[in-house]
Amino acid sequence: MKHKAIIIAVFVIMALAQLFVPAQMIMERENVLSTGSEFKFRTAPVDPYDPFRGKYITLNYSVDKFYTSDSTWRDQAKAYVLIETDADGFARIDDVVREEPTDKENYIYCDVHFNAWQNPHYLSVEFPFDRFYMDEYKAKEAEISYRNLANDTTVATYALVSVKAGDAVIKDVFIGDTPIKDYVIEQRVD
Amino acid sequence: MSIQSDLSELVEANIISSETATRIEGFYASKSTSGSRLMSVFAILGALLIGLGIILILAHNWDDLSRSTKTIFAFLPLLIGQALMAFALFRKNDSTAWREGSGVFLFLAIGSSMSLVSQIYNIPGNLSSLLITWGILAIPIIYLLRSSVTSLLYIIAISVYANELAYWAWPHGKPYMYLVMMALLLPFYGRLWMQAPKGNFTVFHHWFVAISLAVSFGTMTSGSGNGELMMVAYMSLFGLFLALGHDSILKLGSTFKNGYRMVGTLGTVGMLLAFSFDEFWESIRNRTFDSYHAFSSFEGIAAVALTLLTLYLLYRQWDKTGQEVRPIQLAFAAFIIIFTLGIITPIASFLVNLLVMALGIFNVIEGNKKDHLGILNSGLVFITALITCRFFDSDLSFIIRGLLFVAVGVGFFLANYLILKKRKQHEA
Repeated sequence: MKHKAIIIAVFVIMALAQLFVPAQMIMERENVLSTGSEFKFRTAPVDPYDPFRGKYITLNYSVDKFYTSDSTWRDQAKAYVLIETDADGFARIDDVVREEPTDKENYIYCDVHFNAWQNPHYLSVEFPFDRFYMDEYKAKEAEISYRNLANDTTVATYALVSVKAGDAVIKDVFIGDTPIKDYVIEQRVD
Repeated sequence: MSIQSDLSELVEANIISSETATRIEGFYASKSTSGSRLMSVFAILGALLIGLGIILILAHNWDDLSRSTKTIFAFLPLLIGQALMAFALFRKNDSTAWREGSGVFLFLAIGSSMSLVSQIYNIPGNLSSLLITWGILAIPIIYLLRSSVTSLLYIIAISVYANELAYWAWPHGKPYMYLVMMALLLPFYGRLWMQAPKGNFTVFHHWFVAISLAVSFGTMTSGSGNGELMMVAYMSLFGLFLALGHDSILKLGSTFKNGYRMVGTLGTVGMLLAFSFDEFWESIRNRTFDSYHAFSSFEGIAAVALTLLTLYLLYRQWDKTGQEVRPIQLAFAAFIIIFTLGIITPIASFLVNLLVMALGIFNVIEGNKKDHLGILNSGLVFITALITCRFFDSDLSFIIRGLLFVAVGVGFFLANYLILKKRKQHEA
């Protein structure tokens, strides 16, 4: 009977662990989505040679550079990037620091890369929200629309992102003020 | 099973003896076990297909569903899988079909739940950590359910992890966890081997482990100037496979069931053919080897450990069973000598050519002696492969290369003809 008790115990622990992993992934992100600050990140044109992925669209951001001549950044791989809203209502990088900020919450912990062979020097920031999953039938059309419009300065394409204390979760991608999945449907009807 | 009630009735009425009744019972029992084996195969296939199907369907993002609904779908396969596993574990423990089927389903459900959550929340891809977590969460399934198919899937998962982290992910990493994960499987693998040394699942495991190690071993190279030493380690790994695949340990002969022997042979000969080109030796010739760094790197430690282990197994094979050691099993030792020479002299590639030629000729002779066409032709294949490499490598004139090919082709015909003639003479 003791043998059976051990089996039951191991099974229960295993089942709880298996449930815990996805649950934790969800809770962390739900927390950021519900209590974080929203920012609109302007998206940049996608490299047209990017291979088409199908189930998600790849996003590039135009605000991903932070100009600095501080070359000690060369050795830093990750940093805390502070975000604020500019005059047009879109996100911009306020500052990049090595230590975790204690007084504010709208910062993202991500990979940074010091670019020293272009003048002026800058830190390029790799935001952790570079992909947006979509219905596979809509994804390709979305990427084409998005790519065509990203060069059009009259229509703003941006990603709505929730930021809190180092984490960032993407909520939706907008073309103008229409969520991209609705935009694709509108385009089809025309 | 109404047969059984009829049987007791017939015995009582003296229609059949009780001995006959027992035999009839045994006949029906064996019929049902072969039926249940078919059931197991179907159950495993069914579970695999259902599991994969669910993953594919769930992978299709339903934009119209709210996030919470999608989250429920993320957990559903997991909960179903756990329920199935509990049922199999506590109610159907004797049924292989149930154990394997539920194990596979739950295994796939673990992966699908994590990847579905990644899609719902647009989490940036990190395939290697997903695979590692997947593997760790799956290990208890293998042991609790004693599920061999889950174990095989696990081996695939950790192999993909190792290769993903070392070659495709950015930044690259060293997948040392692969060794830990493989080690976690060893008790199960060992027990399977002991209990059913010739069983199908065991044979599959030999193949899977051999291929997984062969492919993933190289992912842990330190690369920093000791990459060439990795070749010595690899040759010793294949030497170890050949030692394991020998009859003294595996008892599967030289059939295709003997995964270790097959992978060991292909690996040894394949690598030697690669080393028959001088390009490889150019990079280590006249290099000063910092022996401290060389031997403290992964390759150095692995090379020493694998060589010693293989030598020990070969000694046991020679000593205990009195069976002669086949020359190909010693190829790794010869390679170590050649490698050392290769650092200081330019004759290494020539020696490798000699070695492959020798292995080929030996197989031809042995095949002839044992009247085994398979061994004979394998020797000829080695020689042909070697000649093919020289065809692409050296600056011999076309005429000489052509003559070489003709010579080998004639050799093929002659050798086979002589053996078949000898056989006909024996029959006559």
